[in-house]
Amino acid sequence: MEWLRSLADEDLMQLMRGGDAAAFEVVYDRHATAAFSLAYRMVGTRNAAEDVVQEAFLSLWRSGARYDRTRGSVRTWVLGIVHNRAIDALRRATVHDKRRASDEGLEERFEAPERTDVEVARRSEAREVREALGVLPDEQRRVIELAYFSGYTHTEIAELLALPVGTIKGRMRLALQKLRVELGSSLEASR
Amino acid sequence: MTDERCPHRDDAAAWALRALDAHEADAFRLHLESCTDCRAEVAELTEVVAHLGSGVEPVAPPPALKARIMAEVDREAALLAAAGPEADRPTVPARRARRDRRARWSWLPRPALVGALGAALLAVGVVAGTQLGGGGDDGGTRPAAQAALRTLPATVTGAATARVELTADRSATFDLRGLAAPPRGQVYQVWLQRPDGSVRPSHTLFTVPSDGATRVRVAEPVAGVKALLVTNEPSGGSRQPTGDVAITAPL
Repeated sequence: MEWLRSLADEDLMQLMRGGDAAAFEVVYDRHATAAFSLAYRMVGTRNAAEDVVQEAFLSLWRSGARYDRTRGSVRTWVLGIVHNRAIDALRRATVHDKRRASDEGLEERFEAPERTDVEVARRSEAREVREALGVLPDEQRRVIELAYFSGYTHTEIAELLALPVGTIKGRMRLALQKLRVELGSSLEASR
Repeated sequence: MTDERCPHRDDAAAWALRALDAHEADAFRLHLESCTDCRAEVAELTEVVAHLGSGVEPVAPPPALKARIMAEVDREAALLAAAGPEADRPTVPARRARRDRRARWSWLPRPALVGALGAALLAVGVVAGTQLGGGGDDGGTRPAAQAALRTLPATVTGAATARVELTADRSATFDLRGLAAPPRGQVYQVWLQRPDGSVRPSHTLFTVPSDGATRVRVAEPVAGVKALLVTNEPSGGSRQPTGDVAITAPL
Protein backbone atom coordinates (compact mmCIF):
# COMPACT_ATOMS: atom_id res chain seq x y z
CA MET A 1 0.00 0.00 0.00
CA GLU A 2 2.84 2.39 0.81
CA TRP A 3 4.24 2.25 -2.69
CA LEU A 4 0.82 3.12 -4.03
CA ARG A 5 0.76 6.22 -1.86
CA SER A 6 3.93 7.39 -3.57
CA LEU A 7 2.26 7.36 -6.98
CA ALA A 8 0.71 10.36 -8.70
CA ASP A 9 -3.04 10.48 -9.07
CA GLU A 10 -2.80 9.88 -12.80
CA ASP A 11 -0.82 6.67 -12.24
CA LEU A 12 -3.37 5.52 -9.69
CA MET A 13 -6.13 6.12 -12.20
CA GLN A 14 -4.29 3.86 -14.62
CA LEU A 15 -4.19 1.13 -11.99
CA MET A 16 -7.85 1.66 -11.21
CA ARG A 17 -8.67 0.95 -14.82
CA GLY A 18 -7.18 -2.47 -14.20
CA GLY A 19 -9.57 -2.99 -11.32
CA ASP A 20 -7.10 -2.19 -8.56
CA ALA A 21 -9.15 -1.50 -5.45
CA ALA A 22 -6.09 -0.52 -3.43
CA ALA A 23 -5.29 2.23 -5.93
CA PHE A 24 -8.85 3.46 -5.62
CA GLU A 25 -8.50 3.55 -1.86
CA VAL A 26 -5.50 5.85 -2.14
CA VAL A 27 -7.40 8.15 -4.49
CA TYR A 28 -10.29 8.15 -2.04
CA ASP A 29 -8.02 9.02 0.87
CA ARG A 30 -6.53 11.92 -1.04
CA HIS A 31 -9.75 13.49 -2.22
CA ALA A 32 -12.51 12.37 0.11
CA THR A 33 -12.26 15.42 2.34
CA ALA A 34 -12.50 17.84 -0.57
CA ALA A 35 -15.35 15.82 -2.03
CA PHE A 36 -17.26 15.60 1.23
CA SER A 37 -16.66 19.27 1.96
CA LEU A 38 -18.13 20.30 -1.37
CA ALA A 39 -21.06 17.90 -1.06
CA TYR A 40 -21.81 19.09 2.46
CA ARG A 41 -21.53 22.72 1.41
CA MET A 42 -24.04 22.08 -1.35
CA VAL A 43 -26.63 19.75 0.15
CA GLY A 44 -26.30 20.91 3.74
CA THR A 45 -26.94 17.68 5.61
CA ARG A 46 -24.55 14.94 6.55
CA ASN A 47 -26.69 12.08 5.26
CA ALA A 48 -27.30 13.70 1.90
CA ALA A 49 -23.60 14.58 1.58
CA GLU A 50 -22.64 10.97 2.30
CA ASP A 51 -25.03 9.76 -0.39
CA VAL A 52 -23.55 12.20 -2.89
CA VAL A 53 -19.96 11.27 -2.09
CA GLN A 54 -20.68 7.55 -2.15
CA GLU A 55 -22.38 7.85 -5.50
CA ALA A 56 -19.59 10.02 -6.87
CA PHE A 57 -16.72 7.78 -5.80
CA LEU A 58 -18.43 4.62 -7.00
CA SER A 59 -18.94 6.38 -10.30
CA LEU A 60 -15.26 7.28 -10.29
CA TRP A 61 -14.33 3.67 -9.63
CA ARG A 62 -16.62 2.32 -12.32
CA SER A 63 -15.91 4.89 -15.01
CA GLY A 64 -12.29 5.73 -14.32
CA ALA A 65 -11.43 4.90 -17.90
CA ARG A 66 -13.14 8.12 -18.90
CA TYR A 67 -10.64 10.24 -17.04
CA ASP A 68 -8.54 12.32 -19.42
CA ARG A 69 -5.53 13.93 -17.83
CA THR A 70 -5.34 16.55 -20.57
CA ARG A 71 -8.60 18.01 -19.31
CA GLY A 72 -7.56 18.64 -15.74
CA SER A 73 -6.38 17.06 -12.54
CA VAL A 74 -7.97 14.06 -10.88
CA ARG A 75 -9.00 16.36 -8.05
CA THR A 76 -10.98 18.71 -10.26
CA TRP A 77 -12.49 15.72 -12.02
CA VAL A 78 -13.59 14.24 -8.71
CA LEU A 79 -15.04 17.56 -7.61
CA GLY A 80 -16.82 17.85 -10.95
CA ILE A 81 -18.50 14.50 -10.36
CA VAL A 82 -19.44 15.49 -6.82
CA HIS A 83 -20.84 18.79 -8.04
CA ASN A 84 -22.97 17.11 -10.66
CA ARG A 85 -24.27 14.51 -8.24
CA ALA A 86 -25.03 17.14 -5.63
CA ILE A 87 -26.96 19.21 -8.16
CA ASP A 88 -28.89 16.10 -9.14
CA ALA A 89 -29.72 15.53 -5.50
CA LEU A 90 -30.77 19.12 -5.00
CA ARG A 91 -33.03 19.16 -8.02
CA ARG A 92 -34.70 15.82 -7.72
CA ALA A 93 -35.58 16.04 -4.05
CA THR A 94 -36.51 18.61 -1.55
CA VAL A 95 -32.97 18.90 -0.34
CA HIS A 96 -33.18 22.64 -0.87
CA ASP A 97 -35.92 22.76 1.70
CA LYS A 98 -34.16 20.32 3.98
CA ARG A 99 -31.07 22.48 3.86
CA ARG A 100 -32.99 25.58 4.77
CA ALA A 101 -34.66 23.77 7.64
CA SER A 102 -31.54 21.88 8.67
CA ASP A 103 -30.65 21.98 12.31
CA GLU A 104 -27.17 20.74 11.55
CA GLY A 105 -24.94 23.56 12.54
CA LEU A 106 -21.35 24.32 13.17
CA GLU A 107 -20.90 21.21 15.24
CA GLU A 108 -20.93 19.32 11.94
CA ARG A 109 -18.09 21.35 10.55
CA PHE A 110 -15.03 19.82 12.04
CA GLU A 111 -11.71 20.31 10.36
CA ALA A 112 -10.12 17.50 8.46
CA PRO A 113 -7.10 16.15 10.31
CA GLU A 114 -4.65 16.01 7.40
CA ARG A 115 -1.75 18.43 7.60
CA THR A 116 0.57 17.00 5.01
CA ASP A 117 2.49 19.14 2.53
CA VAL A 118 -0.02 18.18 -0.11
CA GLU A 119 -2.86 19.25 2.13
CA VAL A 120 -1.13 22.54 2.78
CA ALA A 121 -0.90 23.12 -0.97
CA ARG A 122 -4.58 22.31 -1.29
CA ARG A 123 -5.47 24.74 1.41
CA SER A 124 -3.48 27.34 -0.45
CA GLU A 125 -5.51 26.60 -3.56
CA ALA A 126 -8.69 26.81 -1.53
CA ARG A 127 -7.63 30.21 -0.26
CA GLU A 128 -6.93 31.38 -3.81
CA VAL A 129 -10.38 30.31 -4.92
CA ARG A 130 -12.02 32.09 -1.99
CA GLU A 131 -9.99 35.22 -2.67
CA ALA A 132 -10.93 35.10 -6.34
CA LEU A 133 -14.58 34.85 -5.41
CA GLY A 134 -14.06 37.75 -3.05
CA VAL A 135 -12.87 39.93 -5.90
CA LEU A 136 -16.15 39.56 -7.76
CA PRO A 137 -18.76 42.30 -7.50
CA ASP A 138 -21.44 41.26 -5.02
CA GLU A 139 -24.10 40.77 -7.66
CA GLN A 140 -21.87 38.43 -9.68
CA ARG A 141 -20.71 36.46 -6.66
CA ARG A 142 -24.29 36.01 -5.53
CA VAL A 143 -25.23 34.52 -8.89
CA ILE A 144 -22.25 32.14 -8.84
CA GLU A 145 -23.06 31.00 -5.31
CA LEU A 146 -26.69 30.38 -6.14
CA ALA A 147 -25.82 28.46 -9.29
CA TYR A 148 -22.70 26.54 -8.32
CA PHE A 149 -23.17 25.91 -4.62
CA SER A 150 -26.95 25.92 -4.34
CA GLY A 151 -27.75 24.27 -7.64
CA TYR A 152 -30.33 26.77 -8.82
CA THR A 153 -30.98 27.19 -12.52
CA HIS A 154 -30.70 30.60 -14.11
CA THR A 155 -34.47 30.92 -14.30
CA GLU A 156 -34.80 30.08 -10.61
CA ILE A 157 -32.13 32.65 -9.80
CA ALA A 158 -33.91 35.22 -11.94
CA GLU A 159 -37.06 34.61 -9.91
CA LEU A 160 -35.23 34.73 -6.61
CA LEU A 161 -33.54 38.02 -7.46
CA ALA A 162 -36.44 39.43 -9.48
CA LEU A 163 -34.19 40.10 -12.45
CA PRO A 164 -34.43 39.24 -16.16
CA VAL A 165 -33.00 35.87 -17.16
CA GLY A 166 -30.68 37.59 -19.59
CA THR A 167 -29.17 39.62 -16.77
CA ILE A 168 -28.48 36.47 -14.78
CA LYS A 169 -26.83 34.75 -17.72
CA GLY A 170 -24.71 37.80 -18.39
CA ARG A 171 -23.58 37.97 -14.77
CA MET A 172 -22.68 34.31 -14.84
CA ARG A 173 -20.51 34.83 -17.87
CA LEU A 174 -18.83 37.96 -16.57
CA ALA A 175 -18.18 36.30 -13.23
CA LEU A 176 -16.60 33.21 -14.73
CA GLN A 177 -14.45 35.27 -17.05
CA LYS A 178 -13.23 37.35 -14.15
CA LEU A 179 -12.57 34.24 -12.09
CA ARG A 180 -10.60 32.84 -14.99
CA VAL A 181 -8.30 35.83 -14.84
CA GLU A 182 -8.01 35.73 -11.06
CA LEU A 183 -7.33 31.98 -11.00
CA GLY A 184 -4.89 32.12 -13.87
CA SER A 185 -1.93 30.60 -12.07
CA SER A 186 -4.00 27.89 -10.40
CA LEU A 187 -5.57 26.92 -13.69
CA GLU A 188 -2.17 26.80 -15.35
CA ALA A 189 -0.75 24.63 -12.58
CA SER A 190 -3.51 22.09 -12.89
CA ARG A 191 -2.97 21.49 -16.59
CA MET B 1 -15.30 36.11 -29.08
CA THR B 2 -17.48 39.05 -29.98
CA ASP B 3 -21.19 39.58 -29.60
CA GLU B 4 -21.64 38.98 -33.33
CA ARG B 5 -20.24 35.51 -33.22
CA CYS B 6 -23.02 33.56 -31.59
CA PRO B 7 -26.27 34.58 -29.90
CA HIS B 8 -25.98 31.60 -27.56
CA ARG B 9 -22.74 32.78 -26.03
CA ASP B 10 -24.23 33.59 -22.64
CA ASP B 11 -25.61 30.09 -22.44
CA ALA B 12 -22.06 28.76 -22.27
CA ALA B 13 -21.54 30.09 -18.74
CA ALA B 14 -24.88 28.79 -17.54
CA TRP B 15 -24.09 25.45 -19.17
CA ALA B 16 -20.69 25.26 -17.48
CA LEU B 17 -22.40 25.94 -14.15
CA ARG B 18 -25.16 23.43 -14.92
CA ALA B 19 -27.60 26.27 -14.52
CA LEU B 20 -29.56 25.82 -17.73
CA ASP B 21 -33.03 24.36 -17.46
CA ALA B 22 -33.32 20.82 -18.77
CA HIS B 23 -34.87 21.72 -22.12
CA GLU B 24 -32.36 24.52 -22.66
CA ALA B 25 -29.52 22.18 -21.78
CA ASP B 26 -30.72 19.70 -24.39
CA ALA B 27 -30.92 22.44 -27.00
CA PHE B 28 -27.52 23.87 -26.11
CA ARG B 29 -25.98 20.41 -26.22
CA LEU B 30 -27.11 20.09 -29.80
CA HIS B 31 -25.93 23.61 -30.55
CA LEU B 32 -22.47 22.76 -29.28
CA GLU B 33 -22.08 20.15 -31.95
CA SER B 34 -22.07 22.81 -34.63
CA CYS B 35 -20.65 25.88 -32.88
CA THR B 36 -16.91 26.00 -32.43
CA ASP B 37 -17.09 29.38 -30.68
CA CYS B 38 -19.39 28.09 -27.98
CA ARG B 39 -17.36 24.91 -27.60
CA ALA B 40 -14.27 27.01 -26.99
CA GLU B 41 -16.14 29.22 -24.55
CA VAL B 42 -17.49 26.20 -22.69
CA ALA B 43 -14.04 24.65 -22.48
CA GLU B 44 -12.60 27.79 -20.93
CA LEU B 45 -15.38 28.38 -18.47
CA THR B 46 -15.72 24.74 -17.49
CA GLU B 47 -12.10 24.81 -16.39
CA VAL B 48 -12.92 27.70 -14.09
CA VAL B 49 -16.02 26.03 -12.70
CA ALA B 50 -14.05 22.89 -11.97
CA HIS B 51 -11.91 24.86 -9.52
CA LEU B 52 -14.73 26.46 -7.56
CA GLY B 53 -15.24 23.35 -5.45
CA SER B 54 -11.70 23.64 -4.13
CA GLY B 55 -12.56 26.77 -2.20
CA VAL B 56 -14.86 25.15 0.31
CA GLU B 57 -13.96 24.98 3.99
CA PRO B 58 -12.81 21.42 4.76
CA VAL B 59 -15.16 19.02 6.51
CA ALA B 60 -13.87 15.51 7.16
CA PRO B 61 -16.01 12.62 5.95
CA PRO B 62 -16.98 9.98 8.52
CA PRO B 63 -14.87 6.79 8.49
CA ALA B 64 -18.01 4.72 8.04
CA LEU B 65 -18.49 6.29 4.62
CA LYS B 66 -15.13 4.99 3.46
CA ALA B 67 -15.94 1.56 4.86
CA ARG B 68 -19.19 1.42 2.89
CA ILE B 69 -17.56 2.55 -0.33
CA MET B 70 -14.60 0.20 0.00
CA ALA B 71 -16.89 -2.74 0.72
CA GLU B 72 -18.62 -2.15 -2.60
CA VAL B 73 -15.37 -1.51 -4.47
CA ASP B 74 -13.78 -4.66 -3.08
CA ARG B 75 -16.82 -6.66 -4.05
CA GLU B 76 -16.72 -5.35 -7.60
CA ALA B 77 -12.95 -5.77 -7.82
CA ALA B 78 -13.45 -9.42 -6.98
CA LEU B 79 -16.00 -9.71 -9.77
CA LEU B 80 -13.57 -8.09 -12.16
CA ALA B 81 -10.85 -10.48 -11.10
CA ALA B 82 -13.19 -13.37 -11.77
CA ALA B 83 -14.06 -11.84 -15.12
CA GLY B 84 -10.43 -11.88 -16.21
CA PRO B 85 -9.97 -10.85 -19.83
CA GLU B 86 -13.74 -10.55 -20.25
CA ALA B 87 -13.83 -7.60 -17.94
CA ASP B 88 -14.39 -4.10 -19.20
CA ARG B 89 -10.98 -2.99 -18.12
CA PRO B 90 -7.72 -2.46 -19.98
CA THR B 91 -5.29 -5.27 -19.39
CA VAL B 92 -2.00 -3.39 -19.08
CA PRO B 93 -1.78 -3.20 -15.29
CA ALA B 94 -3.79 -6.34 -14.75
CA ARG B 95 -0.97 -8.50 -13.47
CA ARG B 96 0.01 -6.04 -10.78
CA ALA B 97 -3.63 -5.33 -10.00
CA ARG B 98 -4.33 -9.01 -9.55
CA ARG B 99 -1.35 -9.32 -7.23
CA ASP B 100 -2.69 -6.47 -5.12
CA ARG B 101 -6.14 -7.94 -5.08
CA ARG B 102 -4.77 -11.27 -3.94
CA ALA B 103 -3.12 -9.47 -1.06
CA ARG B 104 -6.33 -7.68 -0.19
CA TRP B 105 -8.37 -10.87 -0.21
CA SER B 106 -5.68 -13.14 1.23
CA TRP B 107 -7.21 -12.91 4.73
CA LEU B 108 -10.14 -14.93 3.49
CA PRO B 109 -10.01 -18.70 3.95
CA ARG B 110 -9.51 -20.24 0.57
CA PRO B 111 -13.06 -21.65 0.33
CA ALA B 112 -14.45 -18.29 1.21
CA LEU B 113 -12.34 -16.66 -1.47
CA VAL B 114 -13.42 -19.23 -4.02
CA GLY B 115 -16.98 -18.84 -2.90
CA ALA B 116 -16.85 -15.10 -3.20
CA LEU B 117 -15.45 -15.29 -6.69
CA GLY B 118 -17.78 -18.11 -7.58
CA ALA B 119 -20.66 -15.79 -6.88
CA ALA B 120 -19.70 -14.02 -10.06
CA LEU B 121 -22.02 -15.93 -12.31
CA LEU B 122 -20.94 -13.97 -15.30
CA ALA B 123 -17.65 -12.51 -16.33
CA VAL B 124 -18.95 -9.01 -16.22
CA GLY B 125 -17.58 -5.56 -15.85
CA VAL B 126 -19.63 -3.24 -13.77
CA VAL B 127 -20.44 0.03 -15.35
CA ALA B 128 -21.83 3.00 -13.58
CA GLY B 129 -24.22 5.71 -14.52
CA THR B 130 -22.41 8.56 -16.16
CA GLN B 131 -23.17 12.21 -16.56
CA LEU B 132 -22.95 14.43 -19.55
CA GLY B 133 -20.86 17.49 -20.21
CA GLY B 134 -22.13 20.64 -18.64
CA GLY B 135 -23.70 18.29 -16.20
CA GLY B 136 -21.27 15.57 -16.94
CA ASP B 137 -19.11 13.52 -14.67
CA ASP B 138 -16.15 14.32 -16.80
CA GLY B 139 -16.61 17.97 -15.97
CA GLY B 140 -16.25 19.09 -19.55
CA THR B 141 -17.83 19.07 -22.95
CA ARG B 142 -18.60 15.77 -24.51
CA PRO B 143 -17.37 14.80 -27.92
CA ALA B 144 -20.03 15.34 -30.53
CA ALA B 145 -20.48 11.58 -30.93
CA GLN B 146 -21.49 11.38 -27.27
CA ALA B 147 -23.99 14.22 -27.32
CA ALA B 148 -27.54 12.98 -26.93
CA LEU B 149 -29.29 12.87 -30.28
CA ARG B 150 -32.59 11.45 -29.07
CA THR B 151 -34.25 11.00 -25.74
CA LEU B 152 -36.79 8.21 -25.52
CA PRO B 153 -39.29 7.42 -22.78
CA ALA B 154 -39.13 4.07 -21.05
CA THR B 155 -41.70 2.07 -19.14
CA VAL B 156 -40.76 1.53 -15.54
CA THR B 157 -42.46 -0.15 -12.62
CA GLY B 158 -43.95 1.77 -9.74
CA ALA B 159 -43.80 5.52 -9.49
CA ALA B 160 -40.33 5.75 -10.98
CA THR B 161 -39.55 7.47 -14.25
CA ALA B 162 -36.95 6.52 -16.82
CA ARG B 163 -35.75 7.73 -20.17
CA VAL B 164 -32.97 6.69 -22.50
CA GLU B 165 -30.61 9.06 -24.24
CA LEU B 166 -29.15 7.83 -27.50
CA THR B 167 -25.98 9.27 -28.99
CA ALA B 168 -24.46 9.33 -32.46
CA ASP B 169 -21.99 6.62 -31.53
CA ARG B 170 -24.94 4.35 -30.71
CA SER B 171 -24.48 4.35 -27.00
CA ALA B 172 -27.39 4.60 -24.60
CA THR B 173 -27.69 6.16 -21.17
CA PHE B 174 -30.54 5.60 -18.74
CA ASP B 175 -31.72 8.61 -16.77
CA LEU B 176 -33.59 7.17 -13.80
CA ARG B 177 -35.66 8.85 -11.14
CA GLY B 178 -37.33 7.28 -8.13
CA LEU B 179 -36.27 3.73 -8.92
CA ALA B 180 -36.54 1.41 -5.94
CA ALA B 181 -33.39 -0.39 -4.87
CA PRO B 182 -33.11 -3.97 -6.10
CA PRO B 183 -33.91 -6.67 -3.55
CA ARG B 184 -31.22 -7.21 -0.94
CA GLY B 185 -28.18 -8.96 -2.38
CA GLN B 186 -29.22 -8.25 -5.95
CA VAL B 187 -28.35 -5.72 -8.63
CA TYR B 188 -30.05 -4.37 -11.70
CA GLN B 189 -28.82 -5.76 -15.00
CA VAL B 190 -29.39 -4.33 -18.48
CA TRP B 191 -30.40 -6.68 -21.31
CA LEU B 192 -30.27 -6.06 -25.05
CA GLN B 193 -33.33 -7.31 -26.88
CA ARG B 194 -32.83 -8.32 -30.50
CA PRO B 195 -35.46 -7.68 -33.21
CA ASP B 196 -36.58 -11.33 -32.93
CA GLY B 197 -37.38 -10.79 -29.27
CA SER B 198 -34.48 -12.78 -27.84
CA VAL B 199 -32.22 -11.08 -25.34
CA ARG B 200 -28.53 -11.08 -24.63
CA PRO B 201 -26.89 -9.92 -21.41
CA SER B 202 -25.00 -6.68 -21.19
CA HIS B 203 -22.06 -6.03 -18.92
CA THR B 204 -23.98 -3.26 -17.26
CA LEU B 205 -24.92 -3.89 -13.65
CA PHE B 206 -25.97 -1.14 -11.31
CA THR B 207 -27.61 -0.25 -8.08
CA VAL B 208 -29.33 2.99 -7.16
CA PRO B 209 -28.76 5.46 -4.34
CA SER B 210 -31.28 5.83 -1.57
CA ASP B 211 -33.35 8.34 -3.52
CA GLY B 212 -33.51 6.11 -6.57
CA ALA B 213 -32.01 8.59 -9.02
CA THR B 214 -29.01 7.84 -11.18
CA ARG B 215 -27.67 7.78 -14.70
CA VAL B 216 -26.40 4.54 -16.16
CA ARG B 217 -24.48 4.29 -19.41
CA VAL B 218 -24.95 0.96 -21.17
CA ALA B 219 -21.56 -0.57 -21.83
CA GLU B 220 -22.44 -2.08 -25.19
CA PRO B 221 -23.40 -0.20 -28.36
CA VAL B 222 -27.10 -0.50 -29.07
CA ALA B 223 -27.03 -0.58 -32.87
CA GLY B 224 -29.56 -3.15 -34.05
CA VAL B 225 -31.09 -3.45 -30.61
CA LYS B 226 -34.88 -3.44 -30.46
CA ALA B 227 -35.22 -2.57 -26.79
CA LEU B 228 -33.31 -2.35 -23.54
CA LEU B 229 -34.64 -4.26 -20.57
CA VAL B 230 -33.62 -4.02 -16.93
CA THR B 231 -34.20 -6.82 -14.45
CA ASN B 232 -33.07 -7.49 -10.91
CA GLU B 233 -30.53 -10.28 -10.80
CA PRO B 234 -28.24 -11.94 -8.29
CA SER B 235 -25.11 -9.98 -7.47
CA GLY B 236 -22.70 -10.62 -10.31
CA GLY B 237 -25.39 -10.80 -12.95
CA SER B 238 -26.99 -13.63 -14.90
CA ARG B 239 -26.64 -15.22 -18.31
CA GLN B 240 -30.40 -15.22 -18.81
CA PRO B 241 -32.95 -12.94 -17.14
CA THR B 242 -34.23 -14.44 -13.92
CA GLY B 243 -35.76 -11.45 -12.17
CA ASP B 244 -38.70 -9.20 -12.84
CA VAL B 245 -38.50 -6.65 -15.63
CA ALA B 246 -38.21 -3.26 -13.94
CA ILE B 247 -37.66 -1.14 -17.05
CA THR B 248 -38.56 -1.59 -20.70
CA ALA B 249 -37.09 0.89 -23.14
CA PRO B 250 -38.05 0.43 -26.80
CA LEU B 251 -35.43 1.93 -29.11
